[in-house]
Amino acid sequence: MKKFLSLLLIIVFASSLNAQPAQTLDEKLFQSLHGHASLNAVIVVMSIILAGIFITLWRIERKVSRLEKDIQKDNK
Amino acid sequence: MKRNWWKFLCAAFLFFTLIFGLKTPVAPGILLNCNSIIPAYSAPFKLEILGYNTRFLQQKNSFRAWLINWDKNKPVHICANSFSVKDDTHAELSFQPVSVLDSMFFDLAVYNDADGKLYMDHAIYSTDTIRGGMDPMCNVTIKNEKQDHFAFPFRTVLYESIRNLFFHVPMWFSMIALLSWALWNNLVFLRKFDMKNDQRANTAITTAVTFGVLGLITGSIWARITWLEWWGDDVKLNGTAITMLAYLAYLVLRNAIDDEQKRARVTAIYSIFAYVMMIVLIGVLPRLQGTDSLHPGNGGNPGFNQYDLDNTLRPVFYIAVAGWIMLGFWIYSLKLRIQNIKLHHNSQ
Repeated sequence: MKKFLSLLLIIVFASSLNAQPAQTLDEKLFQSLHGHASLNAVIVVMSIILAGIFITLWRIERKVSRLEKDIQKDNK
Repeated sequence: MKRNWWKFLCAAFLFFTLIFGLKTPVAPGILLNCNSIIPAYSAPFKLEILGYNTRFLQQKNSFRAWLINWDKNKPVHICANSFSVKDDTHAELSFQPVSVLDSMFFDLAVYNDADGKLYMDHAIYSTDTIRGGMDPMCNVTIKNEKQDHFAFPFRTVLYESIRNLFFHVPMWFSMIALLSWALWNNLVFLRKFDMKNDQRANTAITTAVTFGVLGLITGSIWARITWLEWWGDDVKLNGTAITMLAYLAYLVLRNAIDDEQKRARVTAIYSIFAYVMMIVLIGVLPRLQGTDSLHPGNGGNPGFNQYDLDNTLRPVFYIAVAGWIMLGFWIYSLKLRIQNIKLHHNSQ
């Protein structure tokens, strides 16, 4: 009975465990996608945030220069 | 100069975030570089391990490895009888046949003086249930549990991208801070009908939308390398998308009404509703039991407190959040001042 139960457990667990990627590892794939390569994601994320800030700055600058022009025109 | 002290603080905080967020190494960890199923214990078996930021070769003298089996809730240590260290990140462990214990799962632990104890839950499991073999017990004494330097926690799936915590997450904090400021101004507007409050709320919301869009894009990039998809089936993702749409609708609504007073009143009420919806969609719904969310602290996932017990991420994270929120308010104040000059100029 105990043997049968453990066999059943093994079948249930084995099917679920095989689906986990961390269990077996292809080192080449790991080196190219995860591990130190995951730093690339941080670089991309930081670049996007910087780009967003620069776009915001650019839009602010455009508003300011338009305002400057208006004020100059009215002064004349 | 006196009024601008917080801008210097903002710059200092963001410099701190950049330097410590990127320079601090990720703690050493181990992964299994071979099949995790041990078919039978009748023969000696080998385990190939891959270290991450480890120093196996440098610390060869103190190198130790053992399996842990939780036999009737008591840990049973099974030491590797021999090992060969190839380099700092590669080692091969050999184990003698052991009697199979209560649990068929074995945790793997590797130790050396510099890296501390490196642990891998349920590293291998056996398909053999025959009891017998040699006595597996061995005593393990270790000097230090942790690595000998300051490091961010090692997490499989995340690895180095754990640093995104200081860049992606504070975007949402900034957004919520700005939206809260907008909400306060909307409430004040509805009491006093002062157009100054309406101007403030509107500017805060447009700045918040910028941060929200940045949060969505950066989250998508992060999801691509961790969850392997650009847009996952996650309540929090869809909740934020709806929130963003609600606030974009706010901007459209603002342009649709010409009368200034009317516009201010209608959009103030709308944005109060949008804020309540955001809190429900981002803060409440993903936290409910039974929801399927991969974000920490949501849907039965371990919360942020359990996520990094070693508290190494905390100081950098809090400073990052403060820095990004201040940057958000800096941008907001610039936009607001331009609006004020424009109004002043037009009224002259």
